[in-house]
Formats: sequence, C-alpha cells, structure tokens
Amino acid sequence: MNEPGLDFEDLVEKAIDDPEFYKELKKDPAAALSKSGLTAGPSQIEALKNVDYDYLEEVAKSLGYFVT
Amino acid sequence: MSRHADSRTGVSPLADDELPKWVGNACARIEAELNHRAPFLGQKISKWMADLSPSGKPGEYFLQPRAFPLLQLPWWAARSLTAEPDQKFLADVIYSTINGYYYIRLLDNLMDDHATMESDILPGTAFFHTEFQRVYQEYFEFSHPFWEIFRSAWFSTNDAVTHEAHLHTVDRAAFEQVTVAKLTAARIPVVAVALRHEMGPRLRNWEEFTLALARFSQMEDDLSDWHNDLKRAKTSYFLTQASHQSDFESIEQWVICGGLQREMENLQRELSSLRQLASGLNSPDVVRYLDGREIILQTQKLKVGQACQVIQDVERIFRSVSSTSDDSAFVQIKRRSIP
Repeated sequence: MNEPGLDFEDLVEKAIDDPEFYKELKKDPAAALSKSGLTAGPSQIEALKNVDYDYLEEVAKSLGYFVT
Repeated sequence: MSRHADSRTGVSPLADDELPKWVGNACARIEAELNHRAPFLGQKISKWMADLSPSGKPGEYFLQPRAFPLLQLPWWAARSLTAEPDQKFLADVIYSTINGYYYIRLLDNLMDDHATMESDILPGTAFFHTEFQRVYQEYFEFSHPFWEIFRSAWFSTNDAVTHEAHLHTVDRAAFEQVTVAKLTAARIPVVAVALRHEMGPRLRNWEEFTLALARFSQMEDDLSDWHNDLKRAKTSYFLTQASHQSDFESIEQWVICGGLQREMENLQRELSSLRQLASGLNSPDVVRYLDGREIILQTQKLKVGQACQVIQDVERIFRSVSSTSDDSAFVQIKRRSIP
C-alpha cells in the first residue's frame, strides 16, 4: 500500500503564510500537520523532524526576510 | 580609525566615525524646524521618522549596513574630491538629502500599500520638498548648471516612482528605466559636492558609480522583498524572471531550487563591476564599503547554498512519496497566482 503524502510546495506556502503553523511545525511536525488537517506520510514527517529550522531562519534573516 | 589628512596642513577635516553624528544632527534639525514652524504636523512626523527606524532613532535608519548609502555617497565624494571640504555645506547637503529621501519614502509607502500613518502626514511633503531644495539655493545661483541636473534627476525619480506603481511586469528594460531610475535623485547630493568644490571633471566617475550602486541595491531589494512582493501581488524584476520559469510549479519552488542562488551570482557580477568603477574614484571609503559588501555577499552565498540543499533534500523525500500516492489523499492548499 502506498504511503499517504503531502505536496511539498503546498507545505512551504502554508509555512510561509501562516506563522502559527510554522511555529508548531518547528516544534512538532506531526502535531502541526494533524491540527491543520494535513495528511503526511511517516517518511515525510521524519524528514520534517530532521530539518534544522533555526539554521533556515538564520539564513532567511541574513537575506532580510522577516521570520516570525 | 582612518582619516584622510590634508598633506599640507595635517588637518583631518572629516573623520570616519563622524557621519552618524552628522546624520543624527540633520534628523534633529528636521524635527526642530518642524516643531518650530508646524508643531502639530511635526509631532506626527517625528513619530513616523522614529517608526521607520528599527532602533527608533531616525538617524540610524540611514546607516544600516545593507541600506543604499545615500548619505555616505556625498560624504565619500567630499573626502575624495577635496582635502578641505566645506563642512557647513556638507551638513546642509546631508540635511537636504534626508528631506528628499523622506519625501520619496512617504509617497512610495502610500503608493505601494506600505503605508501606516502616511496619509495623515501627507502635507508634510511640502516641508520635505522645500527643505530638500532650499538648502541648495544658498550655494548655487539661479543660472548655475547644478539646477538643470537637480531638475532632471528629481523629476526622473518622481516619474519612476509613479511609473513603477503601474507596472504589471518588470523586464530588463523596465528594471533599468524604472526600478533603478527611482534612485536617480541620489546623484543630486554627489553632483552638489563636486560642483561646490569645483571638481566637475571628476563628476562623471561618481555619477556612473552612483547609478551602478543603485542597480546593485535594487537587485538586492528585489531579492529580500520577493516573498512580501509575491504576497501583495507586487511585481519586480526578480519575480518577473521567476514567472518565466515554466519548469517549476510555483515561484517558491523556483526560488529555492536555484533562483536565489542565480540572483546571488548576478549580485556578485554587479559587485565586480562596482569595483571596476570604484578604481576611478580615488576613494578608500568606497573600496572599504565594497569590501564589506563582498564579505556579506560571500557569507550569504554560502549560507543560502547550504539552506537550499537542506530544503531540496526534504523536497526529494516529499516528491518520492507523492509520486507513489493517490492524489485524493492530499490536502490541497490553493496555490497563489503569479503576478
């Protein structure tokens, strides 16, 4: 059986557009997705857990992007 | 602290670290003039000036490391063109330039929906424009060639500000003729300094450098504002290029998968051109400034490369799952249209 999946571009858009969602995603990806009614597969959730969000934020800030 | 000493007298007329003090004084002078002549408006404008600055101190707004060096340019030009700059004149030039900047900032914020309290203080444009121009009347008589340059540059900037609000896409020509042209008025204080010190023949190099710096600065602005611009359906040269990339599903994907890095390469090329132009200026200040920008850019390139790699790795995992899944299982979030 195929693993259920979430479209990456949709996730990025939501993370950028919804600061509260992003904060929760950073803390607990599975809970954030579930709370938002988004369905992701185990490997996707695992990948999201391994992201260094602080580093991505640091880069975004260095470019002048506002990160909430 | 390095100083440009006069070889004959040993006088060090303009120290490196004095500019922030001069800028602070010019901002205080604006507030003092307003409070004296238009106190009700002045109170509101003081708040607006403070709100623009991340630190709340109006002067610090102009000296942020990544900001276009609008006030540094005439300062650098003065230090390069003469050993004994006319300090009262230079203080007036800085005061004038800040007024000119606020005039454009106020209108620009209103026109591109960045406005907070700008509509409340719109009559303040009368003060800013008058003070921007009035200062030069003390130094250049009516028939002086300065005034033709002033009119040409000032009208060009205002034309570009108006034109930009009506653009739906920004191709290379529009970027040069509108986006970059918004900073044409930055020529005015530089030209004033050169003409005041009778250094007209060296003016061309400074004007070329100022224009190239405006291009670099606007490219950088496009890059740092791309997501805000996208959200507000505002166009830019960077986003127009993104919209032409048919191999990508969304703007975000193109930016992450190469657009960002490609634009940083373009910035690197512009910086190299700036270095070439700077060689004709005889200005250690400019060289030092460009060295600083080089370090910032190199650091950013490295970090962006690593960050994009992280994101692309996650994307690959997502794509491998998505390609084997039933589309009906996905929650679709409405994709934003490309401006």
